[in-house]
Amino acid sequence: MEHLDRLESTSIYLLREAYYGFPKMGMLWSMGKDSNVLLALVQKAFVGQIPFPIIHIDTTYEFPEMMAFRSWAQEHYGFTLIIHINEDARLGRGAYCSPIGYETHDPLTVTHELKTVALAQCLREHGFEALITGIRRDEDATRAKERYFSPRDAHGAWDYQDQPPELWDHVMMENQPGGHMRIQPLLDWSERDIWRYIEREGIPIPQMYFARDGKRYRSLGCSPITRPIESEATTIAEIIEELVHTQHSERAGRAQDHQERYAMQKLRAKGFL
Amino acid sequence: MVSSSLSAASPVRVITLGHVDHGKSTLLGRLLYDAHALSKEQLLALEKASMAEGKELEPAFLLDAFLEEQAENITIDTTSIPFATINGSFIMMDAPGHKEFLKNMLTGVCAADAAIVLVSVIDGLQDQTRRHVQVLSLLGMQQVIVVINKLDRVAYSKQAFEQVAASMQELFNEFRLPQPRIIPAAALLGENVVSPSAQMPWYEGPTLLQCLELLTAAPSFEQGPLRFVVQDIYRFYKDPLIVGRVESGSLTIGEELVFWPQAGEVRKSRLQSIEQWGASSLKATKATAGQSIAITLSDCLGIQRGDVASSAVDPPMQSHDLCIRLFWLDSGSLSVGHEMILQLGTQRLLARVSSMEHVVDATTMNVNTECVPSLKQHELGDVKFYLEHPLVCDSYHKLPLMGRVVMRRAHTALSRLVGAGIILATNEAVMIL
Repeated sequence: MEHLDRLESTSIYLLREAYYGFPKMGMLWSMGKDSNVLLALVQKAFVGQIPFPIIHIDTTYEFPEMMAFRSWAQEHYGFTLIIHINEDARLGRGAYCSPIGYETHDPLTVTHELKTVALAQCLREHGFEALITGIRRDEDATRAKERYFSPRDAHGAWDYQDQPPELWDHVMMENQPGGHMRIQPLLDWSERDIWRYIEREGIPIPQMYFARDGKRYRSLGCSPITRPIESEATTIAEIIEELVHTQHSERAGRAQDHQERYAMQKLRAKGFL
Repeated sequence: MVSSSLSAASPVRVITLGHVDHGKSTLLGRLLYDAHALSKEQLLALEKASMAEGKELEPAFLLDAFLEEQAENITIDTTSIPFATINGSFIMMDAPGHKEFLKNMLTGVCAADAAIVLVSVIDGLQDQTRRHVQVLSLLGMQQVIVVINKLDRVAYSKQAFEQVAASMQELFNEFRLPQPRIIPAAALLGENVVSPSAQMPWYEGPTLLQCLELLTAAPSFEQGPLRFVVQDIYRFYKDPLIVGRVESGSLTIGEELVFWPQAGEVRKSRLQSIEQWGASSLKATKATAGQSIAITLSDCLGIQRGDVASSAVDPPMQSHDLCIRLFWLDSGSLSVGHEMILQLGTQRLLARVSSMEHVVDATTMNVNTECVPSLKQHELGDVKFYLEHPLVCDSYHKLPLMGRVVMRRAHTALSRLVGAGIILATNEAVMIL
């Protein structure tokens, strides 16, 4: 069996287990490359259907081009899209005495409030039992320690010091009271696998991943804290070739990861992806 | 990063096992460092973390990413890092050596194609080493490399190496595992990790990296008897879609499938179509081992999740009585009369422990050949179960994917997996360790 076929088959298996175990489920979608691979896998797993809502946690700092892709994709796929913004934080009302934003706060704080807290609000509002996410082990050393089905408690927290065993394909199918399950079907995929699969399947992605004027985005996040890399890669084949030779890691251009030591661990323990 | 751009083959998943402080994370960190498999950001973070903990370069921090892991120099959970050379690509997994984290170690072993067992030349073979080799033997791990570490601490003594090597060879014999390649190394200094060691001219064998490049990824079960495991039935369209995974063998349109379990009447149905979605999929007429598929049948026969389809020839067993060689993870023991939920593929069945024997003591590792009333944490034993509804399975030695089970406690909310084991054929129910 070819490597991509094996990855695809495992992801489909996990998605189907999730759909069986957690009827009230949603899928996080950031419009990025991994998210779009997930969408393609969902369509394969459910033979053309997207049988649960797609969720976009909108920080209001998205690149305009990504917002345009969002509108296009909504039309193209015809999925149910839930858009959630932590408006209290952005407007500085409710529990917030002043607006939270990159203009006034550091990336860790903003990421926590506009992504993690926003996600928790969205979960509460819709009562989701499980969330499909597109994280991968090769992105980050704490993600490397994740499970396919990773339980979160009532506060969204990840008990990384005591994760349930996951033996062969037998995953945890039960939630803690008030908690939810993170379903992570792309854990085994590498950045290069993602690109090879996008190429093979012809999966639509935003154009910002391709080089313009000697620069391209390798990983996409909030516009004020996401930097492009020097690149001449204008095709998928060129991107794959570039990855073979690069000396840099994928999320090097994402400021919130690097603000301090253990930044990702701290973010992720509280419920960040 | 050096990377093989050609390979379409799956990377080999290699787990590293060993007693606490024998240097697993250091070995892996060194391997990645010397093979130039690290990005600039990873190197920078590594230097920062090492400095903050008051150390010279500590390769272990690459894998031990958690604050608690770096502060206490331990590995809490299994991690994985991909890397590639011109001659192969790998997912290196680091498993915790502490006893408390055995469940995490087992999680890693279940996902691995090969294993590195690390032993310190100073301490020699430890209880934990024995336990790890026992688990590798239980799960039938065929590809194992032994690294004897910290040779720098014994002045690169050939004699010290040979002494520990001999005890490892004996251990592998005892557990009926094929004899491993044994490498003398100094992980911290990178001796025999990627580059051959000038300090050990008496060793002429391959380095660790050279050994890794000879490993192969998981075999395919395409040639085996057909086993199609049903996950779910979707009613999105006119014809119900039966979805699931082909674990072994293959199926072709028009073929007659037999569904299990059966009570009296034979459940047969013809495979009408294999439904696919997406650009890469031409109209499929055949599906083979490893594929997750959706099919339509001439007659759905009350098919449900947990059912297994086979061909008319070479069907699976369906059994009310099972003998399982079981590794027990839970701090509470397993006793005769206990009720468990047995899981195999998508089957979930209530099973009661009827007896147990051949229990291997967790501390002394001695085999108790008499019947015993319970299995304690980290013990291995042959446990007989009675099931009211039959389990569809094969013996592990015939078909591994259909012969391995996990279990959790029945009647318990939020119950985690507490045991993993292999199904023994009736004639195998003697200790083969």
